[in-house]
Amino acid sequence: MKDPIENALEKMKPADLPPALMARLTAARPQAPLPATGGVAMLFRRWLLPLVAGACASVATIAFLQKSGDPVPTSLSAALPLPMEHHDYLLTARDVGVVVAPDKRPFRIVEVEWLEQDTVRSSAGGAGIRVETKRREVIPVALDIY
Amino acid sequence: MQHFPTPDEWRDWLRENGGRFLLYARQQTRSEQDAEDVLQDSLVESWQRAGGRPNDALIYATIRRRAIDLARSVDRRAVREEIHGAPEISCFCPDVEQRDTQRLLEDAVKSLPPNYREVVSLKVWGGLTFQEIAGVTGVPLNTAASRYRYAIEELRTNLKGVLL
Repeated sequence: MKDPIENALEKMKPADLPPALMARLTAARPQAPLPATGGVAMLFRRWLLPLVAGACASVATIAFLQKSGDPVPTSLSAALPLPMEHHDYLLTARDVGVVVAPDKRPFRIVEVEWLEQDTVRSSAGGAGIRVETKRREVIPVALDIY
Repeated sequence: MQHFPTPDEWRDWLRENGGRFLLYARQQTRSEQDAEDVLQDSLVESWQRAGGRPNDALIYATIRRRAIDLARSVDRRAVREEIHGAPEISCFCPDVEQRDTQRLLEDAVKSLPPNYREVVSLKVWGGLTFQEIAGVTGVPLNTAASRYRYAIEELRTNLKGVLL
């Protein structure tokens, strides 16, 4: 036969959770973390992949042209342009957004545009030629968390 | 592989078990707000540590540890709340027929020494074995069982003429 004290204790049922606490705990349900590669994948798809693809295509094109092209005459070789000066100018910097890395560190993604200014001159002498090229970069900048 | 509860699974689990975990959290903390904070953190942590539905012993152990950590960190606030007095909250479902008896029994349980009351709570409403209680409270198995026996005897003495 069961102890009457234990029997009486077991008849007492713990009260249900108060509605406000129930709502709070419901909202705190453990959930799988957001896909860790979501932000990084987006970064790759939208920015890094096209840039890398473009760079590869440029290298391949140059290599192909150098191999398949006619031999450069010696007289022209002597007249190859030589770099004289090089300057980079920052034209624009634009915030693209914030991504969270797999280790939970946030990064601000910034798109910057540079103007590359090269001055070349023929090895044979003569006046220099200024060549300007615009270059776009997408860079992640670590955000401090306090 | 980690299993995360679906919204329905989580709600049903809370509805079924939340009350007894809250009861223990209230016993381990000094205010209702602290009990709720400790409970929430402990439930989420236990699920994550277990990689799925945790066993009761893990949850009780987590509640106990977090309550101790909180008491250390907010000792000054707890003392202030104790001075002003926390509102009296019944931790049990009201039983109309046994209202007076239940109230006496609840008061008698509250008046037990904390380490006795803890073992009674884990045994009766937590459904843990003495082995699990020993693991949760960090005492030898025999000590856990003795505390329970002493607690029942003390309740028997205090409630003589009421229940017996």
